Amino acid sequence: MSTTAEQSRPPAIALEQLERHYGDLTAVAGIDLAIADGEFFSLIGPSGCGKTTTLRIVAGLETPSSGRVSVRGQDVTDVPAFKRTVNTVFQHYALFPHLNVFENVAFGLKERKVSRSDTRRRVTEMLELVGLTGREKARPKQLSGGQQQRVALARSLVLEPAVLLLDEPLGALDLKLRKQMQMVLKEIQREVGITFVYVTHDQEEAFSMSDRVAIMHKGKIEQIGDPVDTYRRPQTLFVADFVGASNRFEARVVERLGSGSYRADMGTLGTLDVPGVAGLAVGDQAVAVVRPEAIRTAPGFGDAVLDGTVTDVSFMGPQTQYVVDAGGLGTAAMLSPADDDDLLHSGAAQQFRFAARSAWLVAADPGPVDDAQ
Amino acid sequence: MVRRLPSMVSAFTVLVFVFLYLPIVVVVINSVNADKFLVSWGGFTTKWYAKALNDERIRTDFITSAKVAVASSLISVAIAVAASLWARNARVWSRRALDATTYMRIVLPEVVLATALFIFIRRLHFQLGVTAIVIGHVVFNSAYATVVIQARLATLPISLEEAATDLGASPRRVFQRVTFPLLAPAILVAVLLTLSFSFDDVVSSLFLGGTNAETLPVLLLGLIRISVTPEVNAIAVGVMLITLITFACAAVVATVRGSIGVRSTPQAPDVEE
Repeated sequence: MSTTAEQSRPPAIALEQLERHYGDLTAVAGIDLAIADGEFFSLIGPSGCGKTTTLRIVAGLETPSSGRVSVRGQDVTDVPAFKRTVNTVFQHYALFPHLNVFENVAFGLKERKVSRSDTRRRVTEMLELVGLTGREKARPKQLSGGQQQRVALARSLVLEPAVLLLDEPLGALDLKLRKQMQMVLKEIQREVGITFVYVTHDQEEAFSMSDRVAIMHKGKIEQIGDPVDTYRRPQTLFVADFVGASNRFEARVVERLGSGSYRADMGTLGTLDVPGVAGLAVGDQAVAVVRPEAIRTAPGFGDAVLDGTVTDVSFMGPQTQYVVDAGGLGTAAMLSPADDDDLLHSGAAQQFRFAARSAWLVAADPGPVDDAQ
Repeated sequence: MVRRLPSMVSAFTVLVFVFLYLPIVVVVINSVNADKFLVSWGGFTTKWYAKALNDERIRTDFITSAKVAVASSLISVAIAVAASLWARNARVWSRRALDATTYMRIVLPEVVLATALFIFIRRLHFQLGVTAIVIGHVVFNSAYATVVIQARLATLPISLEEAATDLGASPRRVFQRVTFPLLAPAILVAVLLTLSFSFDDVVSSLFLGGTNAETLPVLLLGLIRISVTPEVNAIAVGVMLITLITFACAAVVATVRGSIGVRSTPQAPDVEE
């Protein structure tokens, strides 16, 4: 999200060459990142990719092995956690069990020696914002998971931090509540205008809320971009896999067409003109990624045709997912809207089609994808 | 046969309890027995208690016992809290070393510890007396206190202290506002337990008191060597009551703290004797 403010103000968070090692283990393997003021930014990746460690380093709860952390242009690498102007919403909320809701939210204000009347006013306002007015005297234990989540949020936001860090804040909630809290979080972020850095392993959650996302893998950032771009134009096979189901077809680059397109030999699919990542050379082995929703059965659709047999049908309400055995091309997944009149049945032989321009070419993975998900 | 077995078991159980508690009952009865020679029931009286309370030596020894109990309890709990907090962030091996010394202090016979301490103190030309007894009691009391505090600490997620830090509390303030309040129930239990352990201790007090200090249980031991007077019974009942009451308080605190609850998830079982 490039705004004019971004150019004039220093980034809310800047990480330079950040690394963190635990003995032989590398949790964070060199991260450079700038997060703009007011941005809703998500760090996503499979568990163990270093996203939580990165967040904890920004909070000051973890010390980096090397590299720098800046908040609003000020180097805070050596500033202890309690003196930083960032606050964290913890995965399991970490509400103080011996304090009631009001006292929990007022905790940080007391450390800052805010006057009694100001504290009362700010806490009341904050509880109103998160919809917990009237629950001031309740103990955390007496609240539901969603309410505890709101207290944790209020407790951090009341301090008006430069950046709010959220570590899988919705991980402990059930699906319905999670969806609801996603809306609440997004609304609150817009209202208060504070930079949110959100860590999750759930790409759908990240995509639905964020301005930009960074996909992390093995301690490194694989790709940064807005959700649409990341989904449509993944830079690596790992990203393509992580940000949603994808079909892969082997391809070999036979010609560079300019404007980011390649002519690729795709075996039985024929030779197709497919857009892809920059920097592929003629003769390179590549993978064409095709999203399940890009595959159709309508006759005459697109320019790539594969013959296959439906092996599995999963009706999911708004859409139906098919698993297709495409012979020498392997298995493929297809997603169709549910209003599709002619639902296919398991065992049906059919032509499946997609447009070559809806496919996306990435370099073939040098090694095995061992820990995707 | 199947029916008779349980009744034999219960008869045996009853017998064991009679054996264990009858002497105590006799002591309690005799402490209010007006018959000076304790050969028969001579009517109810409280004069032995009055006599015991007016005895200068008993009063001095009671004060000594109380001093030792309070001092050793507070020192032990302070050591326990510090050690437990340190152990949380310590390396595995250092933590194991602490656990080893803790359990050693509980398992090793008190006579061994007391003898060792006695020899050590004499070698250093340090005086036997109240201070020596306190040190002796701290040896085992700090171990019990450590077990209690560590059990509590294990149920407290570290993220609570991290959250406090994150919200701007310095390490000292984190301890004041989060760690200590959450540990408070366990600290109270530890204080009460160690008070009662110290108050009825004989071995360490006997070895380390020398001629300078005598605690109530040591006095009792001396008195019964001569003859069991009604007064002895009164002192014994007094010691027993003090110990029982502190112990009961500890039990109440432990139960109440369970109901206050600190985490919404089920608590780890409390470790108390």
